[in-house]
Amino acid sequence: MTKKQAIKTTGFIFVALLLIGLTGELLRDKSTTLSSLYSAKNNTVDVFIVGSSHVNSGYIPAILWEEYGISAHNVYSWSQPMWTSYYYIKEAMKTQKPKAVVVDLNGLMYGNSIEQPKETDRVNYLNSFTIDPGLNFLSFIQTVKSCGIDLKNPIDFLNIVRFHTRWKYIDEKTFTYNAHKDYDYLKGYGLQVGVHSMTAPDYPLYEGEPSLPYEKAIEYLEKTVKLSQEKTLS
Amino acid sequence: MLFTTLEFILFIAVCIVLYFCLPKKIQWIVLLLASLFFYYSIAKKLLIFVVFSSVTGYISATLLQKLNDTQAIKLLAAKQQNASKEIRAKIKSIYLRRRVLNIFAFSFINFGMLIVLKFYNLFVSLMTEYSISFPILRLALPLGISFYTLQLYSYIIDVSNQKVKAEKNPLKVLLFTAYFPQIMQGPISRFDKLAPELFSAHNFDYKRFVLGFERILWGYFKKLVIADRLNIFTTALYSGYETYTGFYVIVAAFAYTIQLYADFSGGIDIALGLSQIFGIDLPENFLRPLFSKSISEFWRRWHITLGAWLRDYIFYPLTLSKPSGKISKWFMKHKMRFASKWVATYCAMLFTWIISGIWHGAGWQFICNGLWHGAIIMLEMTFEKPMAGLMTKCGVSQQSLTLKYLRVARTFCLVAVGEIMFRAENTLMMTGMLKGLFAQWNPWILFDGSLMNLGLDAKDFIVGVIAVFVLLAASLISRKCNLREYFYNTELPVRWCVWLVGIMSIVIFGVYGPGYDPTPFIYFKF
Repeated sequence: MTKKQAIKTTGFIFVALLLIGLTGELLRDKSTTLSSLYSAKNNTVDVFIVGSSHVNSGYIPAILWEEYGISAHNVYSWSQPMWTSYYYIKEAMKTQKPKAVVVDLNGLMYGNSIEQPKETDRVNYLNSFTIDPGLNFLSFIQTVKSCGIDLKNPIDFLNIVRFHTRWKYIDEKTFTYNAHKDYDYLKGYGLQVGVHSMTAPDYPLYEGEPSLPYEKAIEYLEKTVKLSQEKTLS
Repeated sequence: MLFTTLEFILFIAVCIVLYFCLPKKIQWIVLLLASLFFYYSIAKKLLIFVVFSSVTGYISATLLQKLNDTQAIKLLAAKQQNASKEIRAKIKSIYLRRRVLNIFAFSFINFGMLIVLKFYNLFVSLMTEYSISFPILRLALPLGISFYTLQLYSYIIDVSNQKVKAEKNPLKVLLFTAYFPQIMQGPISRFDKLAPELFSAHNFDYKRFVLGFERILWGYFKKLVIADRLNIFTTALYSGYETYTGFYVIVAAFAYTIQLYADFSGGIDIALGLSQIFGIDLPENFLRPLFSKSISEFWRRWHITLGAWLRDYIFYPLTLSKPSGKISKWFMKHKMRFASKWVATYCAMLFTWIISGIWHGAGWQFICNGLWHGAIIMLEMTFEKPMAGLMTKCGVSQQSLTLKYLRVARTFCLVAVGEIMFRAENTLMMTGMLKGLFAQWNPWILFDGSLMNLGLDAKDFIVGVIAVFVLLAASLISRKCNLREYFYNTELPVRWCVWLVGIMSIVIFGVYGPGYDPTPFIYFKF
């Protein structure tokens, strides 16, 4: 290979990788459950409510504000285990100094104590890539790894592999959305539209010995309590 | 490490760098180590089967070479001693018998292994129907066994026929067997063509590198954008074959024919492109088969190397065999000229197509597929001249463009029917699909959006249709112009734009990554 050919080949590989990288970034799903946190002004939140989709659908910050004058934000992700809650709170504490943190203990269910825990926890892990890049995110990955979740590196970090099918959903928001600037007026609340009639599901009575929560979940609950006590105003 | 994984792309990048950076003398060793690593990464312990087969191939070829050499020495000695014709014929006959014995031993071991691994459980299920029970074994089929067994067989037959000399280095025979771009799904190479290229030194050639890269890119486009997209659609149709009848079956058959072509030829393009970069020319396996005007022509353009193998090592030996000659003579003696001309040929052809069907897989559907193609070819052979005469009488020109298009369409439809059998997972599905073909008249499903409920939404469908159009257009254009050469000779910005469009089409529209199950190449299972 001559020098000219080597330069041409390297140049082409560089351009191709750059294009793939930019396309991956463009297609990346930038909408994030942390938008409520990131788009809030510094030191304006009184209460953080942290947890799974139960938090997203169960607490309405607007009512808390209207009835009690409390500025609250839901910081959640789907099927959120305890360790994710911990890192979300750490992320929140970077810009806010709340008076209280409310933690949804549903997160204790995750990690090797329920059926298909790794798959569920892996989905949550992938959803949590919306934490801003930094030491907190790296610690989060280390923790997830120590909890036995299959990280599938480097695929998880390649936006083009993860998000290439989103070409179907390209709209104006794909180009303009910014989690740090586009204020979330619902403050992390997921408005459920529609009323459905339900009958109480007939769950079979559990007859086995109750199992203890996953030890990592307990560990991160304790860490969460400690962190909240250290960093909250009250 | 399938061809469509990131690991494979990194692997070939490392292979290319090592291949051209290390001394030329050891280039073939680089390929050998890469091939063993590649196979081990996919099949793990089953690598032992490849090694074993190549050892048997090596031993068999070495013995055959010795037999040939000894026979030549003995014949020479006999000639010098002015020995009679009978003595020389006797020498030939002794050594022929020994060679046949040797080939039989090789075939018994290797084809025996192939048959047991591939067909044992089918045999057990057949026997169960007759209340004869055998234990079901969990047999793992070594990947590519059908391909490398044929390749090794052709090698020892060629040594026996003195077409090639037996290779003295067993590691080189192992490389010939396990060469990683082709081991999984061919093409099925011949030793006399592949070995000189495989074992000789190659300088880096920028043009070959670029042309190889373009071919690999085209292969990935066919596989990831077309074949795997269509796979979602055809899998939905086939798995619901009891529900989807009429035009659904027609659409499934057409879609699967294109899928199979894109999948198989895509894999071959990757293999040929990669080899081209290494400086090794593998034989072509496809020549625009979807534009064939008859089934015979289709098989001269589809899976060419298998067709040639079957022709050279099964069909010709059968038609030229003594029993075949006797059959012809018998008919001639009884004044049945037509039968004397065709019966032996037809018998050989039927046997060849049954073998082709069996080679493809353990199941009646594959044998039916083979017989379907064989039967049509026989009909074509029988009626070729009468039909041509009829056409002339009716004033239809054989060169008429409309006739050509009609013939292409007819051939495509016949192939598609064959692919219904080929794609079916069992005989029940095959008969269900074939019955379904005539079960309902529902052409409206082509227009009312029903096809959008089969795993592909409208946007995916549009991408699929455009990609198929690109495939067919490229096939048509490549009849008159080598597109890869053409792009190589264009200005750098144009060339880069074309390549970047190709790469981005694959990475954006390709069916891979989370949300999709990685689909192995269809021919990987054979």
